[in-house]
Amino acid sequence: MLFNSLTFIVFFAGVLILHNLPLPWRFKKFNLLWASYLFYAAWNPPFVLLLVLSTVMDWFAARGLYSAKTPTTRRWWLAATLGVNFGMLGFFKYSNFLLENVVRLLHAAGINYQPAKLDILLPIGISFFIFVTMSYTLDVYWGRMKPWNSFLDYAMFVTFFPHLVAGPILRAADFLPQCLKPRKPSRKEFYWGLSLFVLGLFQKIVLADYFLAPVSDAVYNSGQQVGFTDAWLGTFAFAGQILFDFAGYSTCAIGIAQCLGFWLPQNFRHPYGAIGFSDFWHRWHISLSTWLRDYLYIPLGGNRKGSGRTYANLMITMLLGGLWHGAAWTFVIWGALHGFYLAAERVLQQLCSLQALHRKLFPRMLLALGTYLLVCVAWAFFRSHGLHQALDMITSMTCIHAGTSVVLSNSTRLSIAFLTLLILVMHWLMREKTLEAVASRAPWWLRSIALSGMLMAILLTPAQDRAFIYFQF
Amino acid sequence: MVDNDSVWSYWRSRASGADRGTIVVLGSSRMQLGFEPNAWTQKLPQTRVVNLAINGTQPVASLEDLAADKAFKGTVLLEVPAEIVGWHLESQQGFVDYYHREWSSRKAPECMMKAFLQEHLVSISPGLVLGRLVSGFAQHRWPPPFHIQTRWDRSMHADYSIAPRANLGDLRAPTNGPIELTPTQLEMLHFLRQAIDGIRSNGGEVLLVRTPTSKFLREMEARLSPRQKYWDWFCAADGLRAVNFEDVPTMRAIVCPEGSHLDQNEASVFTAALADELVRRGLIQR
Repeated sequence: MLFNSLTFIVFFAGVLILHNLPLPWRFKKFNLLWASYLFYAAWNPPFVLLLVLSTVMDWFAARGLYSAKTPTTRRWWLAATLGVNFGMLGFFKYSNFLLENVVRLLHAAGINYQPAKLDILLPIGISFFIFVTMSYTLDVYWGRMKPWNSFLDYAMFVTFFPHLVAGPILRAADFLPQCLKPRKPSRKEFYWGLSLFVLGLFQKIVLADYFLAPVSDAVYNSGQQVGFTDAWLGTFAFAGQILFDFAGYSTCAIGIAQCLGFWLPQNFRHPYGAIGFSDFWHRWHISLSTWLRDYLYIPLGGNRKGSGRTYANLMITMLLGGLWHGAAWTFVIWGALHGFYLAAERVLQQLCSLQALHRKLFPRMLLALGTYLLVCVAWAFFRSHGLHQALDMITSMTCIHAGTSVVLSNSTRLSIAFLTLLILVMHWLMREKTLEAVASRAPWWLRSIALSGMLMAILLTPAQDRAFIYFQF
Repeated sequence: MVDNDSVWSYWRSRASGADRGTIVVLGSSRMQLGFEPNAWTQKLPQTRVVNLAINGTQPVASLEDLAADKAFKGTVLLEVPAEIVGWHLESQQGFVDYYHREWSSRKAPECMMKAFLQEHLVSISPGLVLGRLVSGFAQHRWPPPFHIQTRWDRSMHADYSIAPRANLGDLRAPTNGPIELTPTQLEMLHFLRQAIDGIRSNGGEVLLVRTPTSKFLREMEARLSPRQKYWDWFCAADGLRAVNFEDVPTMRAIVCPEGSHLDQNEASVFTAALADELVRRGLIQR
């Protein structure tokens, strides 16, 4: 069930009531666990078995490799859990992609192979919960933590419904200790949690779905090559849409967890105010970028094995990060572009002193704008329906061979330009601040007006049947 | 309530596996506005109504879908205009596709809760959406009263006494003569007949209904689609059972305020008269 649905409101109200009854803590944790399984089953009941399989596999794998007597046994446990988890992910998410590319390769070699298409349904959230369970096992394997004693706590860590289907990707060390003692938010924390929930819904329903998605769709679904202006504005619209859609989900997740007394990590930190790509990835989908850093980039050697190896590690990490988002070459290229940006940034930092630039305001703003524009170039690949369209968009955006089709009206163009500017300004101003800090300094009446305004906008916005973008990953 | 493909699909799922006592209403806005379920069930309490008519569309795709549903044995009340088939014959295909590809029973609770809130909270009416309100206030315009409301059962109810005057204008009917059916339309008639026969062969029934029209529209229909060349010619085919409002005095006396759709009071009269007529002719058992 979606956070922006009445079914979820009823579900959450029920969970809150149960959670606040005078019951033993263990009973409350069990309530949260079965509620989380019910939440997942609402999409497709049989896929709960996959969630159970991943949970159980890593529970036993972590205990097995922790108590293993020999390194070989430890590696066998690790291989088993990697095989099961990534096997599931590979089968459900990448089978058709693999098959399509094998067919293409065979065709290129003159072999006409026509296999039956595999009709495989992608279980929602599989990329997320597999990364969660794998992080637990890998942390135990590398000695960062011991296996947790309580299966109930561990199962709840994996399935906790606020983060289950679209993150933030939790770490065991952050969440499991919270399960030791009863969690009850203070009145202030509860209201802040509700405020975050409303803010998240506002970002998703009003900003992403109502204002920005139709513009992005108009450009990317037009079936024609658009001109320079529409290409950029359509991509700005998508940049805003994916930000508010995903950040909206994360904000809702954090708010809901807070209402239950749990803390979830921040997943977005005003990313369009980033200066440089390293900074961008410290602000965008933080839980994924840190996962990739800790479980892929650093184990590959990080930046400890010379420049060449560093660039290769960056590229591998970002390529796989792109592939994680979806089984299509456009996602791989999106990841490759970000890998290239990160590598190029390192090279530039070594070749010329960017420190002086970073101290002055105007150059910093220009660098931030440049970062945003290059991020948008990468978004064009992310949003496009295929490589052909992505290249059309890029050639239009760079004036190499702009299309002639005009899809956006002048008023729409002005609206998107204004909204984009507003986003950039807000993210720039909030770069070093947190929303909580800013809200706590604001007078109560201003907070009330903002909250009421967002609620009104949510109620007055016509319902659009749009799932959260990251549900498809 | 906001009528959409989810709500339609909910009711379509209720029609699946229906028996003869289930009355499935197919058509356009004329049937959504003209067929009043309460008036029908007062006359025929043993039946249950499923309204699958869709505003602004032609029912051919829905009829074909029911014909393809071997489990469907209900009775279809098919709204057929004077010209028998219009244009945009695939206009209901999107709803049918949504039902088969996207709908599942797990969406039903959300659908029902949304409909309940929309029926009872005017602030979330589609007429009061954010963009429309803002642009309206900028032009010093207060939102007009809602003269048409849609209920959860998908029936629409119009109160033309509060409708904007522009909705009640009468146009001048054309002066040219009958239009010949094109080959495409004749082909569509063939598909229509096939679908009707398909439903019958599965154990269901299809009853054709021509809803009242008035003013310029009635005049236009008489000129461009005269009854002898269209309605009588089509319904003379074997096995077709049809009710034309012109043949029923109570229905003939009904006036459509804007020529095409019934006011909510007249909808009750029309529906009760339709039930009586179908019973009188032995097409439906009381």
